[in-house]
Amino acid sequence: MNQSFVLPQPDEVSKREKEDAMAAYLMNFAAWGAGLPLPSLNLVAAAIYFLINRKKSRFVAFHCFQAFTSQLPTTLINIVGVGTFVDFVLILNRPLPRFFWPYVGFAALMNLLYLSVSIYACVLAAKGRVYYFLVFGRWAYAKYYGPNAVPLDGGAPRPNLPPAGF
Amino acid sequence: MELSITQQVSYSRSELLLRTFFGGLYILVPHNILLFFVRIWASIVHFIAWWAILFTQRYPESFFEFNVKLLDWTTRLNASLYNLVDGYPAIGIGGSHPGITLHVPYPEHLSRGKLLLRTFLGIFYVTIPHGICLIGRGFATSFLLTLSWWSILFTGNVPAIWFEFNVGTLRWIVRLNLYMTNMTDTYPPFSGKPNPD
Amino acid sequence: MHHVQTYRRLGFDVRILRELLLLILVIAAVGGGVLAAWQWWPTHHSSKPGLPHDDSMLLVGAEGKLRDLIRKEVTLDAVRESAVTEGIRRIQERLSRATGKLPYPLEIYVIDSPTINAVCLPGGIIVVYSGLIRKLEAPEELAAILAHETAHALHRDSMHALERELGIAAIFTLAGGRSDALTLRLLRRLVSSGFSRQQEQEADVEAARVLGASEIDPGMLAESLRHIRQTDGDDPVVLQYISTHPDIDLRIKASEATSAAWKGKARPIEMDWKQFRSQFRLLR
Repeated sequence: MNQSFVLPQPDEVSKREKEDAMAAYLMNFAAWGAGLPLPSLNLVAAAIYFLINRKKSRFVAFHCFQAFTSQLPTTLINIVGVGTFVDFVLILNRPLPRFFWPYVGFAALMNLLYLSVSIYACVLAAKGRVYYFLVFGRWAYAKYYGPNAVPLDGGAPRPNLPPAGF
Repeated sequence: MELSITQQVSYSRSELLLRTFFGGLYILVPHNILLFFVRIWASIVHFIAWWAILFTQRYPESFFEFNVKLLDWTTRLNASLYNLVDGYPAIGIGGSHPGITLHVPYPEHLSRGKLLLRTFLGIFYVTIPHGICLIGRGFATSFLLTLSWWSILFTGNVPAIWFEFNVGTLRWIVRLNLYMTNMTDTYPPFSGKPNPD
Repeated sequence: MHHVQTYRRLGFDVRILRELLLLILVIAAVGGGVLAAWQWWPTHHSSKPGLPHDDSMLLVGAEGKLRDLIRKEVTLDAVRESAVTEGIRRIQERLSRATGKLPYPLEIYVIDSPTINAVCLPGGIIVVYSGLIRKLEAPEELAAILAHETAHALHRDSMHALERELGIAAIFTLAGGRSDALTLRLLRRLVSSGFSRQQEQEADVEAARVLGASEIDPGMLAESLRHIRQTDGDDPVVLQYISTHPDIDLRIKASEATSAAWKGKARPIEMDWKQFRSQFRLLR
């Protein structure tokens, strides 16, 4: 059992950490920045950002991890949509199934929902606060601040543990 | 901002010839392959920084440092291709070269108005005027670079004036870059001199 | 503290499962909402005349380009004699009040050829071959045929048939090209393949409605089909209408049933049919 880490309060978070945490949620818009409307580009950008920043600070790593993992549902939905379109129109050359346009509407709504929550989390992170996403918030918290939290630098030995039962 | 490239005491003729005939292959290709991907990331970072400046009036510090390192990398590459420095230019964001120093002070506060001005009207009041001047400067630089090539071949060095002029061209381009990528609010001077008045 | 102990025992946060359920519920709610809105909003298969079916905007654009290409091809062979065009215009006028609002203006062309056929091409271009006209005995019969083709145009059946046969991507390629050879091939393909059974049935229903509302006996469709069916002396090659409309007998029966149920009063179209029909013998 590792010792758990304490969630910092806004005044304990440096300005730089706040900025880095905010940028994690802005990776949602990466595809726009790169100019390529591929659905998985946002996920890749968020993953790269996470990999770059996970050793810097626990607060930042928490937000990067949450931003990256929470991308997964919407990315999957988008991939299915774009994949169907490419498949039917470009590869198979058949008319699109009737169900396609409602699915596009559904994907658009899900993306909008996720983007709004993301922006809210972004604004809060810029102020040094934490906002927990459904499912992914708890996951990120457990990873970085829970009782089994991972060490940032990946392996300095921690032989001192609290006595059993605590 | 400060960009300085120290002129060497003497330049290696063999490296000069190697660079001229094979430089495309062993310098340009490896650098550009990596630069391609890093530039995609840089465009993402740039896009995000634009919005960050719009809302917080600050360029996020880690992004700023990333961009400075990228500029350092491209300056290193260009300096090597201009035959201003010897030695293989270090690949990668973290690299550095002994003779090259690039120092860009972090701007604590950037103006929203200037950001929008740059984005929407930048073409007219920055790109076109500087572009026109740089065309002329480009010709002069190419001319001097050709002369420098022969100079190094025969004498092992170039006259300081030519060297400073070429470094000045790089300096001008870097300043222009800094302004257009929203890393500074100072309008780039129409000169390559280190500390223009 | 209890929660932390459970956490330690199980190794992961149980409340995460609760949140996962909530997340799935949210996604299902959005999906369900979209489905419900789609059902409540019948954009497909409206029976009101004049409203296009749910076609993507992309196809509508391609259709316009196809119409220009097809018109160029068709007008090369189309009959321009005023006696003929005037007759066609008169029939079209009688039907026009009942046809309602069409997605685009109809263009009806007659091609002088022994082929016995009438087709509706993309873009509202209807081609009638004189071989078919010569088989008919009255202008009302031609009106019935035209009403049927107009229904195909209204339902944009030719675009749907193209989409089904060649695929969307091919449509864009055709629409973008300037190749006349390709357009000819496309026309031949459409002309020879015909429409689906359901499309034909729906066109017949619409045609019957239009005829009835234009003071023409809907049974005129049955009459015209009967005349077309008489093939003695005809070269099998020209019997395109029969080969592309396999259910002629069923259609005749259906049309007769509609005629029996029709309560309107027929008003003949004022036109010298014999003189109109004889034009084509002269033009050959």
